[in-house]
Amino acid sequence: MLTIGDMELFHIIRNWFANLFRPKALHGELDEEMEHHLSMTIDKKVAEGMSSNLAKKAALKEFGSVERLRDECQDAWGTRFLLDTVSDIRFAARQLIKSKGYLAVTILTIAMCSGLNVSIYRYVHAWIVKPFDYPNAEEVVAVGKIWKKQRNKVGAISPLSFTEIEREARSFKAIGLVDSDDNVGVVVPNGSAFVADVMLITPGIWDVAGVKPLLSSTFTRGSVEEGHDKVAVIGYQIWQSRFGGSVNVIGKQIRLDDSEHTIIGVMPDRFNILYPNRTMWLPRKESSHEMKEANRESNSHRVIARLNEGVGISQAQVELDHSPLCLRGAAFLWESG
Amino acid sequence: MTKHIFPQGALELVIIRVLQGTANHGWGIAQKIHLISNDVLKVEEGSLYPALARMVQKGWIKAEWGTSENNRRAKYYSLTKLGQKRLNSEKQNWEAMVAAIAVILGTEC
Repeated sequence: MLTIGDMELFHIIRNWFANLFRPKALHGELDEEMEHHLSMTIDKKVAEGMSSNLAKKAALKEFGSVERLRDECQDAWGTRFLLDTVSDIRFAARQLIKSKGYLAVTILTIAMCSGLNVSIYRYVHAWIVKPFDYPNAEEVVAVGKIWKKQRNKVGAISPLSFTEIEREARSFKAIGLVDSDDNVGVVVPNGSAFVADVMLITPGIWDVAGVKPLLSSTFTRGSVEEGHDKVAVIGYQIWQSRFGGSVNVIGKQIRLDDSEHTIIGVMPDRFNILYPNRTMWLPRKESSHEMKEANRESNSHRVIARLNEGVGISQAQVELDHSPLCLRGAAFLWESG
Repeated sequence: MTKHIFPQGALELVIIRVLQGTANHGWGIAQKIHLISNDVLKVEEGSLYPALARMVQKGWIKAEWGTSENNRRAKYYSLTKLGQKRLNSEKQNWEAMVAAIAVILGTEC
């Protein structure tokens, strides 16, 4: 099922292409709209008792800068960037053709800079970006509904489908769901508040990630089911910036929105799950409403899993293709994480 | 009375709401917002038309030419199904954001 964002993207691309071929018509229509707007304002002011001349002056003053309005509309149509670029390229081409020596130097400079950028990128990636080293990352796969119209992209699935895969699929040693909703929470430790990007996850995510916390522990299915669900695992950055990197952070109470949570663990630096900006992880519990058959197609959450040892992606694919899960209308596919 | 300019993103939300059930031209939309808000909210023309262009681009509203009250050709905007869906989701986001800001403003840091 297409999301609102997908549909908007479709409209933006379609309208952008349409606009590229009718820039003059767009400007003409905008001019006519502005004229209409001014005429309505003038009529209103005249009806209120102002003279025609004064009304016109006042309406133009209220309207403000027409050029700025045109520029902003061009940005909205998506044509400005292209028209500016074409104009710049034409100018550059004319300048280069005038001087062949300058053209040779330009080509040489671009070639050298490209090579240099590739080298710099390698160093930056290795020494500065430092991607987190997840153990046996090749075992981690995305599980979800496949979007054939979007180059077989693995999409989101519903909590109901997730619980069925978690219960029935044998190809995975661990599987977990990541709530895709944006959860921004206001955290209040010791009376001082800050805003944190919070991620709700099922406990299986910790096993999928396979990363041990830097301090203490994470939550498990058992602990959550026993009622220890008001807990939080925090990221390294928050631990450093908000708790001074103190080991006493474990067991501290934080108030998140309206409920109290206990910090039970701190994850290592640069650790993240799917969404790099999230800095706090809380247990997610499925609701009885989500488990209703009517909500099977509420495909809005991401699922990742870790393959069992010795099981390849194709084997796991075969298992799910021939499982009753597919018969229930849920065709799943995965890709390497 | 002090007139308030719209914060980022709020103008689109208000335009969609104003277009619910009835098509209108740019001037009419600005007037309606002005009236409904009891003269508190003022829509600058320089913000209104780019916002309308962005919304047409995203498919939230569609535009058709018609004849206005003063017998002139005017572009009438109406809400699409996608715009209605966007209003529903943005309304929730907006309410959550306002609540979060209220919490922050009410907290001693």
